[in-house]
Amino acid sequence: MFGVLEVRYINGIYKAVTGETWSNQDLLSHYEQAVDVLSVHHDEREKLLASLRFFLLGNRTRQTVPDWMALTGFSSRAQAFEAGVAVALDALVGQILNAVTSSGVVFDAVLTTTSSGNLMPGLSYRITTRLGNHVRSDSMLLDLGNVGCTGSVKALNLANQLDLSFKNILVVSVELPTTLINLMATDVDIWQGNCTFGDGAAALWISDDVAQGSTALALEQIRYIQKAQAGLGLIRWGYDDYYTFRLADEKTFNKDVRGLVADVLSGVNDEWLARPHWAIHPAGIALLMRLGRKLGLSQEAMKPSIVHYNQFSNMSSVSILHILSDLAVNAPFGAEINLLSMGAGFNVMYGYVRKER
Amino acid sequence: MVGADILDLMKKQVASLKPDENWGDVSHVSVTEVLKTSFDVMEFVMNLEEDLDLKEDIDLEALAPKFAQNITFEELAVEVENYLVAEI
Repeated sequence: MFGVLEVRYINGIYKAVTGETWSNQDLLSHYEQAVDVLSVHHDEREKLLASLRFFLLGNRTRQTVPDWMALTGFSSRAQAFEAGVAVALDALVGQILNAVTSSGVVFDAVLTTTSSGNLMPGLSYRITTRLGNHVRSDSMLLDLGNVGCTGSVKALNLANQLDLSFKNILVVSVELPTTLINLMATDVDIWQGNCTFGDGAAALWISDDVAQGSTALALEQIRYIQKAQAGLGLIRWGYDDYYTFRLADEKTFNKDVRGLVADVLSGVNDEWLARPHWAIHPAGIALLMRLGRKLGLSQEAMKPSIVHYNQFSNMSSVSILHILSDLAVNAPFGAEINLLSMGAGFNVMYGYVRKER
Repeated sequence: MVGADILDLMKKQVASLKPDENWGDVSHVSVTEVLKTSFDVMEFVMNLEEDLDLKEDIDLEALAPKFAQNITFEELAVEVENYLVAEI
């Protein structure tokens, strides 16, 4: 299954923006009301409110599942996740079928990822039922779960490692972190999660044929470095009536992550760092900007990730695919587009694609 | 460094961050009037850290919620001074 490869290409990037659009200001008024009725000491309440106002400063939006305020238990959250996945997959499949139907492409593998919910059967089966004869009965269907924000690049990396008998591969990422919004929390890190994330979905058509599809981004390099020994607890699930977003220590989180990413990238060559086109996972504005400064990136290089974050917030594993899509449209032919993602585990993925077509 | 020096650095940062807006003396201006986005806040914080020449393991992010409160730059400079005295 694994072997020496020729170059593979991303022939299409498909994006889904579903649900409702919520601004920082709209969220803040609901969040403030929720914090006002929490059973906490006055000082604790003021600290939470101050943190919320900082997390939601300025104009930023995100997509949410409908009626997220009504999600109060495992059942309603899990059902909202399943319903949201269905909407996202429908939106993606329409675009994928438009791209592949006329050429009769059949996917040899369907690799999917999500970390913001659990489904059985998984996403790969659910999208396959929608793709009809574009997936064979003996195609590989594989769900990557619990992999966090790097999930989509991990799936891309896996696709690139499969042997050449896998001609056409579909990578799908769906994240609905707003099904986790917890209005009863008293810990700052859970509220940080409430403020940071937004929903989204994306898919990649990957093949060994430069001429297929609407574009051809050559997968030149993807590197994967895990730092589990140092960073296992940095980002993790907690448990309340559902999964909750937890950090080892919200006060040192940005510094800890920045240190691990900088450590991983300390050996990369200057040529990679100097490239102007970057798709960086927008974990949060503070981490994004500090990381950019640490790596010596220009504001222009940071702009696509910041623009994405301002509109969609952190879509977990989906964000980097949306940013790559935006960059791929505007980058000149021959341009190299750097990828950099980091997330729970802890792990860092980086590399680049080259726009051939 | 005392609060007055920190305030001077803040004034310089505001002028640098918002070159098209003439704020004059921002001592008694609310921080949130000038720093309207999280991007503004982080640029301001990181530039201030560089000007203060802080040690690698000390940053001003612990004060970030203060930037979203209705306090003046003069008051914020005192907060920074107190924070640095406690940290260094």
